[in-house]
Amino acid sequence: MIRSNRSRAFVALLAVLALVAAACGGGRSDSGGDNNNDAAAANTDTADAEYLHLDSCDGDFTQGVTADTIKIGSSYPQSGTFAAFAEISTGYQAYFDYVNEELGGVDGHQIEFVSLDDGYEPGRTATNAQRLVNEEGVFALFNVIGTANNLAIWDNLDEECVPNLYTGTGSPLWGDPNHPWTIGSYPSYSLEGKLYADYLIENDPTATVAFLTQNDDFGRAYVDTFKQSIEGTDIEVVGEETYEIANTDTSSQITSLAATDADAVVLGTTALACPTTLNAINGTNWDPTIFISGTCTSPTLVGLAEPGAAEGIISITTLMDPRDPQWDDNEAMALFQEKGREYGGPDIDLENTIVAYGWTMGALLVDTLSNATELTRPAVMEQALNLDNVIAGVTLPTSPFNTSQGEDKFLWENVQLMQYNEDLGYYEFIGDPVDFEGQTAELAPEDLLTP
Amino acid sequence: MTRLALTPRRVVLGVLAVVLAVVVLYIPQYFVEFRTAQFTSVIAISIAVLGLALLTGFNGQISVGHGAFFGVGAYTTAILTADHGWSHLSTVPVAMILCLAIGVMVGLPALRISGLYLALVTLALATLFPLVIQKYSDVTGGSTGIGVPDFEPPDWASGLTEDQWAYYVILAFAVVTFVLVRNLIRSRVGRAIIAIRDGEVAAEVLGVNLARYKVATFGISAMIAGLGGSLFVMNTAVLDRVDPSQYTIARSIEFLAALVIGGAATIMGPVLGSLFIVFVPEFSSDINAELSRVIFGGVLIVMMLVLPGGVLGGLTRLEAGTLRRLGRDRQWRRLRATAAEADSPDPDGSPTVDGAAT
Repeated sequence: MIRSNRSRAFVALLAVLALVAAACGGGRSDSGGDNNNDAAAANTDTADAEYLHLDSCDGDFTQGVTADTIKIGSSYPQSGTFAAFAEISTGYQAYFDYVNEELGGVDGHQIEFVSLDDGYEPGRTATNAQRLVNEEGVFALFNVIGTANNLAIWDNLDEECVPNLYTGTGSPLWGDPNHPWTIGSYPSYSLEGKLYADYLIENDPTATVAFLTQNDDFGRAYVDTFKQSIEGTDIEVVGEETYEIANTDTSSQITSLAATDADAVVLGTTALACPTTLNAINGTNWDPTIFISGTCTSPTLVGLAEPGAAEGIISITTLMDPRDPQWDDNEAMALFQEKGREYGGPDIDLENTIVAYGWTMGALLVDTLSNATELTRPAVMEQALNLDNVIAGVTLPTSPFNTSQGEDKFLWENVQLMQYNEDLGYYEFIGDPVDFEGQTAELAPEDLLTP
Repeated sequence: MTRLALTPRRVVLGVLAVVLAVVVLYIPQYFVEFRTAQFTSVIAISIAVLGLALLTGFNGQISVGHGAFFGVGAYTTAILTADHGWSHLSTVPVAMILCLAIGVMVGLPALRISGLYLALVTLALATLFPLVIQKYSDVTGGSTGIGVPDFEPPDWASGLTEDQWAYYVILAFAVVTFVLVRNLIRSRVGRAIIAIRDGEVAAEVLGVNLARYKVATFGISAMIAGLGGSLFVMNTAVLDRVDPSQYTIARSIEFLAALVIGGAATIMGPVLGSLFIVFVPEFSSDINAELSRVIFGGVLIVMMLVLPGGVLGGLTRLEAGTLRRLGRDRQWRRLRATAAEADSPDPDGSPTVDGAAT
């Protein structure tokens, strides 16, 4: 009995392995570090870019670039609770199609884009990233979403010197100079904490404040920076609650916070927790000033809240809101509306800021690639780390992209406070844009800057 | 072992075993880095599922908390290597002993509860684990997790890359573990473990010390799961980080799914189940990313309908069916042969029922 069992097991295992081999294909070639990097490095101006540690790179600097194509990959949630973020890709895919069709690609290289689903699980992001690099042979990764997800891949990408460009997260971690091959995009969450504190200090100096935040570094960035910013003032924190990523129903936390009757609440929430929390607050008698994470502000998320629940929420932006009439005559906005419509497919939502963010990231990537001295990984990374007042896509004219020499890797530090007006259907600006250029690292609590 | 006659069946088995061994050893030479690393995680996960098979499949105690033991093993290795400079392999015994201890502690209350109630207690374990990790973030790195140093091949194996080295090391651990568990199951102790599953009262009447066996099985099972977790972390070529989101309740449920898919009370079933849970989500995601989970769930349901005893159970049924048909066929031929008064020799090598060979 046991004997025949074993042969069955062997047969089954062999069959499964054969299936996997057939589905995946092999083709391993260990060149033992032999690549064309020396040549590429020699004829680049990047020799002086020491911060890129080119001597210890494993990967091939020109992988994914052919005479007329360049291959870019991404991994982001396309299934599960966080699939809402997939909408970002409709924006940049439309931009890539526009560039390929009308501008002849990036210096004659058509952009080929490959994406994989990771369901927001860091383990799968890591596999996807290596699959994109090893198997798909991409030149660079672009707009990989999630803080933990990017943390899971940045060490290995750094060893291989694969650019991990404009990640879809705003953690202060992406400023780390020890990981030069990863660069973030979104304004650091700690800037929001600072801005919300400053707003209260100016407008309601004796306010009591409550927090609801996601129980991780994302949420902590809001709490820690806010508390640091109110030291020595009369503003008092009277309640703090957190929720777990897996559980976006925050009504019990809101019930406890409502009992404090704080004057203001800071919501370090994202994805589905944004509308559920707004609804929960709306369901109580509590009527605080609501500060909400910039990741929530798109209609994809806030749009899910009940009527009235999002009225008056305060947040930040770095993008032109397509619904705001002040941009009606803006050229960049007109291009987004026109080409987005043309190339974005029938379902693209051009009123949506999350799509506008994707479009802008696509434009920033194309700008970086075409301004690099050549299409090699070091040259492109050097370009990304030396952005000089770049205006791309539908970024606010007051929010250009700036980075310098791998020291200041925070690219979007000029932000605008804004408040939602439900009758108008868009956010109105509060005050002037605030320039934090070069200050993100100073403002963020130190333990949030290194993993 | 008594001397075995060289029957055709054993020859086939031997050839199969050699082919399988060659294939398994050749994997890291054939597949690219990330695929090799994927197979390495299959092996590490299959060790943990084997631990669960020992407890749930052979001993009948249901655990929905083995992801937590896996996590304890993983974090032990991560913390000791990253923060205390230990070598990767030297952390393995620590991880195993720690999990053994926790397993025994959980096994003690399991004496008084069983079935659904035990499932609930272990469920709590799985739910608590990521929360405990977040709570003690000074040691565990909280939600940011811990970066694990690369598991580099030593000088004498410098011909191997990082992913290949991890593959062979973890494979070696797996082979030893699988052989040991197989031997355990076939021993007197193993028969006692199975007897408890089949009928506690009967087992006790026959002199099996229920308490001792159940607690020990829980401990050993947890220890094996911890070993799997510790090895899982050494697979640094693709993922060199532990964070609580990788060790949630989903991990425990994955293990249960792998166990049931492969065949709960089998030794090789965990390998098949682990291949399934690592590769099928990827393939289903390639078919349609938005529907990947639906496809995965659908495949699971179909598998359970078609193969209620898991892959190995299904193969057993298939073989039994074929044998029955072959048997009838032979009867029929024999009938015909008798009728023609010609001697139809029984074709040698046709699978006769040699079941009780041991």
